[in-house]
Amino acid sequence: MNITVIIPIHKINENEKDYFAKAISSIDKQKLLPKEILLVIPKDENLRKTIESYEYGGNIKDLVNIVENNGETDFCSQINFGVSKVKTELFSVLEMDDEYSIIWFDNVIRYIGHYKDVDAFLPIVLDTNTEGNFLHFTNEAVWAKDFSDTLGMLDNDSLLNFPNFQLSGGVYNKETFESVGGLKPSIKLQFNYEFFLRMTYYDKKIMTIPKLGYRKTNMRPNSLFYDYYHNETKKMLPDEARFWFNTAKKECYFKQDRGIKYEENEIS
Amino acid sequence: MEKEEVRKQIEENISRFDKKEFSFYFFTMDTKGNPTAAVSTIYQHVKILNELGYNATILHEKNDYTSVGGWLGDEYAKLPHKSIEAQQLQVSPSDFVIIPELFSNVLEQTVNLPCCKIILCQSYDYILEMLAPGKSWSDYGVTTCITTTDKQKEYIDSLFSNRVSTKIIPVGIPDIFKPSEKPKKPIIGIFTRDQRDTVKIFKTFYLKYPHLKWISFRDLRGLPRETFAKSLSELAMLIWIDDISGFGTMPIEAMKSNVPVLGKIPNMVPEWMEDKNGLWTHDINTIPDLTANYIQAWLEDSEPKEVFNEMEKLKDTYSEEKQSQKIKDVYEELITERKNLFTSKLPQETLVNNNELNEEK
Repeated sequence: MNITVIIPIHKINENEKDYFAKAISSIDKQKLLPKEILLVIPKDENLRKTIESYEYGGNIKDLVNIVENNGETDFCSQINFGVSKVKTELFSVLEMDDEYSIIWFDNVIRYIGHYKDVDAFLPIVLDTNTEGNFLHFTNEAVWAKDFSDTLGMLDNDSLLNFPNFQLSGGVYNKETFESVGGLKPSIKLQFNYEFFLRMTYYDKKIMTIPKLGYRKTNMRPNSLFYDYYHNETKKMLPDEARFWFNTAKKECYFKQDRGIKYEENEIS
Repeated sequence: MEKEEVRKQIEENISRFDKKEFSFYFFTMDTKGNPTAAVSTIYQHVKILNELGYNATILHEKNDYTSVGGWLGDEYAKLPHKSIEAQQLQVSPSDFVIIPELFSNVLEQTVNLPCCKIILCQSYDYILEMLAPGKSWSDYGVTTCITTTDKQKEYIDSLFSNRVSTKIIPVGIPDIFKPSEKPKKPIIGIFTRDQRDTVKIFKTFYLKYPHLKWISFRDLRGLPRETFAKSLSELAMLIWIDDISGFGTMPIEAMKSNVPVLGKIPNMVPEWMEDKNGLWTHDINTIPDLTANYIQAWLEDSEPKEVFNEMEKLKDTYSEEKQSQKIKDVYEELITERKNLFTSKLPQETLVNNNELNEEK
């Protein structure tokens, strides 16, 4: 299958090993396997050893490649770096604490066959808390009546009214992703939103496959969004959150990352 | 000389059968442009009979009859039509007038027509609707009925104590009902005889399963036939509630389109309905829950495969080819019976004539 899975990994502590195992296993269980699994890690010998020592399932053992990113290692930079190493036409992003459903890639191939002009396929994401309890779905809204111009498709107008879409789990055309400039590391909190706004602004087609394709663990301690809410040193206050939301709407017209910074008391 | 004329007339009528110079008139309600399954079946009979070389005509009451072209297609709209109001109707004893079961009142108006009258019963529940208490079709000279299923035949036989001969022409589902080429959409089709049930079901569904609020319900009423077929094929599932259904055309159309049906079992259980070829319930209140269960399974690609396997078996059971063959067989049988009736009168007439002649002597 002409897809590469990118797993950005910042660090794996003991508590996170189970998550990682489940994430990897969810690729192993796919009916159709990807061509390559890229584990994108920062330069960190210990992390490399941990990753290398992991016993990958028989189906995917030969598909795993570890790539080190010597530059910025925030989530967006890791993804962009991973994409630059992708050798297939398509790629998908799997966060190390999430899982694909076993039907996901099977459906992606089926839908690609019928919707050849679509640049990105999003799964319906089943969001859970850390106890595994169901919280809500994400990406499903495009199938609600009158949400967008075309049922199942995400467009710019509907995004301006409803920003809650999830990038991870989706399958993207590498060329399209790079043609719109990839993810912008300078955009905090709303980098997903800004990316989708930019994709749709540049007329790229995004569709949600109406199947449960991805299971996301919300607010895992030490995860990016957990830190935004709970980590005293990284906590994001409402003013800043609002700033990034508005910035996403303004920056989506630009393909390059313009290095936007938030300064307290700034009026957005 | 008069008797000779009678004999001549009988022979003329027999000759009309041989030369196909008689007519079938199908009394049809004006749908006012609203798609109606029963009317489409009537048109199908008329179309096939014309293709077989017979004169079959749609007979409507008023001059301002609304064409069915908008929902059934031009092919049907162009079939021969006649209006009663325009006094275009002239029937002879060799003609047949076919009247839907709902229009028993027409029987009284046509009681003196010299032709053969036949009831076309597609919905057993309407039989008594316009019949006067204690009256039977046979009281109006009708002794033949055409219906669509064995079960309806059983009901009619029992109702009229076998005074009516009932023949069966099953419904034919056209090939425009076929699986969609694209993957199905998270849309639930719904058809309920009482529209309040539609509202009750989707409101209950959204109330009990708010995380599925993005799943749309599509009311399938009033769509032109081809649009309806396309729309049906896109669905994840169909909810069907029709307590008084005589046959259950829509579920068969859905199954032919590879769309599973969740339905309330009608008062007269359809002949095609089996435990595993759909999701069937007696209790309308369970439908929102069963819908949510099915949709959840659909989202995970874990729909009950057995249902699809069983649906597949029904795919060709109600084909238009089979219906056409049955239309041919049944109407030819009716023609033969009618012709035999005339033929049987000839020797009797001769005998009567001879007796009368003897008496005169």
